[in-house]
Amino acid sequence: MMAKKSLEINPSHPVMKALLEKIKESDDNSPDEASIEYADLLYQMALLQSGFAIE
Amino acid sequence: MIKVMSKKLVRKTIDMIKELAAEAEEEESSEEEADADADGEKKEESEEKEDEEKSDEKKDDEEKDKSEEEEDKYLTFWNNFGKSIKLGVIEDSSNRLKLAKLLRFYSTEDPDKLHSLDDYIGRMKSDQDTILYLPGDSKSAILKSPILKKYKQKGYEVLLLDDPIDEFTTQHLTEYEKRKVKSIAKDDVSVLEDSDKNAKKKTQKLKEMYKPLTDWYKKHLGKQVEKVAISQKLDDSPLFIFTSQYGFSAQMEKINKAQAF
Repeated sequence: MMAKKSLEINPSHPVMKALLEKIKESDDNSPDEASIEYADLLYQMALLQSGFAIE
Repeated sequence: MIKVMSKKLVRKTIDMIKELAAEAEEEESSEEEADADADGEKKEESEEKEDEEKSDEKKDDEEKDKSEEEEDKYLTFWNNFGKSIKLGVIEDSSNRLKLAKLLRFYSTEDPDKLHSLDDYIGRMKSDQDTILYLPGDSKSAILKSPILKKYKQKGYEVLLLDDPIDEFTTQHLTEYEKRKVKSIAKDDVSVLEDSDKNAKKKTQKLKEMYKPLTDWYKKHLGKQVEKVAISQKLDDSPLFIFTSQYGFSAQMEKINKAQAF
């Protein structure tokens, strides 16, 4: 059984603001390669910090 | 016959521990603790009795010896038998509250000292209706957790549960002295949320503003996460993963994984 994860974003964090801008700028609502990678990295980091193991 | 004997032995042990605890009282602990002490011990032993009657006597004797040698402080008792008390809270529902009084945890108030739940309640803020805790691998790891920061800033005390069994204990406890016991790593804790209208409006606005991001993130991560939301519980970290109220917590998932083979 896995934990039900709910990701919560800090709206006052500059990184999140920048990511939002990136998405807004894009036409098809998905940011560029680099931002996607960065978002993935952030997610993995959050996993670790929240006490999960990375698969 | 064996039953009668073990019963007597148990009773004797209880009396001895009572005495020990009474001596310790002079140092710091209260009379209540002494009585409850005995209760906890009684419970443990009666459980053992059920399990294996013969080894029971032996164990009783061992426990007696140990407590004789022990420094008469509750701390020493806790270090040796704390786990049994935690187990008791999980398994023995009729003595749960009595045993809960015996629980000792580290807390953000003073991470080097053990605190009882009563201590915690005495220090609680007037608007606080939940006992907050955060489970983790070790005390230092918990103290570094990004969600702890905001609670600390706002002056809420959080218990640090560094023993893997702790979370199961608190889950069975659910309530202590009419106050809910909750983990701050779960998403249903609302202590930090502002309740006045202005703040609510603001959050609503933020939610709308960030909708493209949350939508995209959810789509991107797919089944890995249940939902993506805007948080008010974070201070300087960009994101955090909470677990749902009824699901497994991160810590439990880890334990589960370690057990699966």
